[in-house]
Amino acid sequence: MTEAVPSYLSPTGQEIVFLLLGAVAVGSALLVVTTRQLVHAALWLVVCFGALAGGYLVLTAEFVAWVQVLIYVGAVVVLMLFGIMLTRAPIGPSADLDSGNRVVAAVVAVATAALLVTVVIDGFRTAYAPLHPGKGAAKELGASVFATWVLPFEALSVLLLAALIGAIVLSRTDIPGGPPAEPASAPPSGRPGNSPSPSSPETIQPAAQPSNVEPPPQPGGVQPDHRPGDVEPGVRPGGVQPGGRPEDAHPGIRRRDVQPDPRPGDVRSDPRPGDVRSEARHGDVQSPSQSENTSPSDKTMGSTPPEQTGGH
Amino acid sequence: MLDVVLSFAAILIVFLVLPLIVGQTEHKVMAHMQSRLGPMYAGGFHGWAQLIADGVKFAQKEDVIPAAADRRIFMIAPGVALVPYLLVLIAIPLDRGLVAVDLDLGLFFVLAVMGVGVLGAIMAGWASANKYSVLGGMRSAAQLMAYELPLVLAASSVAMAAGTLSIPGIVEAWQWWWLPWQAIGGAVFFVAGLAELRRPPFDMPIAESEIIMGPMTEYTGMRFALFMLAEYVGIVVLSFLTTVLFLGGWHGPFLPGWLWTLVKVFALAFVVIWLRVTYPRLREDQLQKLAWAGLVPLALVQLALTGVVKVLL
Repeated sequence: MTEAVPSYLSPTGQEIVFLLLGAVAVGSALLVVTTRQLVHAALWLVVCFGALAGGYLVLTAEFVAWVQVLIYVGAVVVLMLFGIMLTRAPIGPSADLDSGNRVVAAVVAVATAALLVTVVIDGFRTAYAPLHPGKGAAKELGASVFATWVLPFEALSVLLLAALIGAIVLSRTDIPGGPPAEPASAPPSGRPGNSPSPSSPETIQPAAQPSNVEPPPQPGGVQPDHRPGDVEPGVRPGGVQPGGRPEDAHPGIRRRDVQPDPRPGDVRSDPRPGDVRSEARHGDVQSPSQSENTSPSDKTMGSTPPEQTGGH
Repeated sequence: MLDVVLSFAAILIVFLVLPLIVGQTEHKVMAHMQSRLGPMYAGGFHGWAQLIADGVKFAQKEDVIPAAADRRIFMIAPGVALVPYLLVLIAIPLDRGLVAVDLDLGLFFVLAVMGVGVLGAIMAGWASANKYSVLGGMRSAAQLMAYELPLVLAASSVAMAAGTLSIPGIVEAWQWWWLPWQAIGGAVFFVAGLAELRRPPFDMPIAESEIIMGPMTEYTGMRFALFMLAEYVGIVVLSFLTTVLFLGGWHGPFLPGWLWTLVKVFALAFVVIWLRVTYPRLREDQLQKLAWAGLVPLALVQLALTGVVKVLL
């Protein structure tokens, strides 16, 4: 394993590229946590993951590199961007992206990095392993995963399966034992995405009432608010749309994905006990979009000034 | 070294020419399917130079960036949408031994890089400072998340059948009876790929009758042309991938191999156009339902079928 160590003063091309990729990764990672623009943070994350994948490639771990791109860039970041845009995605810096914990966070981050670097340096010292292409290829990797490491692999599979089933159970309201579900009161008037949240009718209805012809005035910056009559219930079943509007152009279509609502027309019905519970569960999802109204300094996506919301 | 330069030059030419041919074919095929003539004037013979004229027009237009937009992201978004498809082409074989880079993990490379392309649409949608664009971007993201899974599952079925992830290796291992064996997977792959390209009938993200042009609403001139180019390169790439994975690539009687590949690619591109003319746009909930309740189970059935046959043989 250890061969004659080449001098550190004449680095090979591979080593230089690796160092550069590492610099890109660290730099973009710092930008992720320091930028004041939410979407930019997610996009810097793409750069960071890309540089990491490049690092894997230089180390001849092709499979890991492409999985990194496929899973993290192609799926995780897209999912994050989707979530950001579903709740809020102002263009321009946001004031509230800073946390009071940043000193502590920096200390923890530096300490973790120092620990890892110490361990790696102490463990390997001047050990030198030349890179041979092909060690990270599918065949070798598959052979070692399914021969040597098959037990951890299977254990991880079970872990992922459990997470998957848990997600399904959490998101379904119609199975007994699922969290939000008294089967009697499960009908989703408690879901914020489908009808006005029972707990806050007075905050939402007034804004929505005056406009019967065209979409009501939008609170600025909150993306979901810009989608009054959209016919896409599929993408946002538990979505964060604050308060569906009764005078929507397509009430029937919008409620199609909803389990049978006893009174589809009467969205202002009294909150039932079960609704309050599920409302509480969704409360944290909804809060960011509501707090958005209080930061009118953001350049907003829509052209409607924020004060129109409060005006009613 | 010369090989590499030559093959990359060839890829660049393919990259620039084939999308134009597909675009022109779309003009004419759509027109004739709708009892029209399509472009007839540009270039003289049946309007063959229409897309060149379009390109000149795009180049002359002003490049408008909205005042409220996030300028940098707005400007790089078309590139992010386009470049991944160029990268994908280097791993696709045209004939036996005729591939720019024979990657050991070519299939993984192709799927991973193609998934990056949608970031361009999301970035464009967000950075335009236009609510319709954001809607389009979100729909793009939702669509990608839904259709990535069946796409990867279908592709992994054929990789299982061939016992390799190298694309030339898969084509080499292909036999004619894989056609019925992998038929479900092929259909799932093609449909999911169409949805990833946001081509009709899966064009809810750019549904022009309700959200103008989706993420591209604010784009003009060359940047808009880059998005259009990305769409047509996407058609070419999808047709190439379906050809090499499911239709046997260069395999075929009489004709030389590269010609077979091209014939299959253009047949598939024709099907893409045909589907656009035939089917109305799917609603967003129908889109999601098709992916999760239709294509994913079908892809899993295909995986099981592949596994069983593979073990029995």
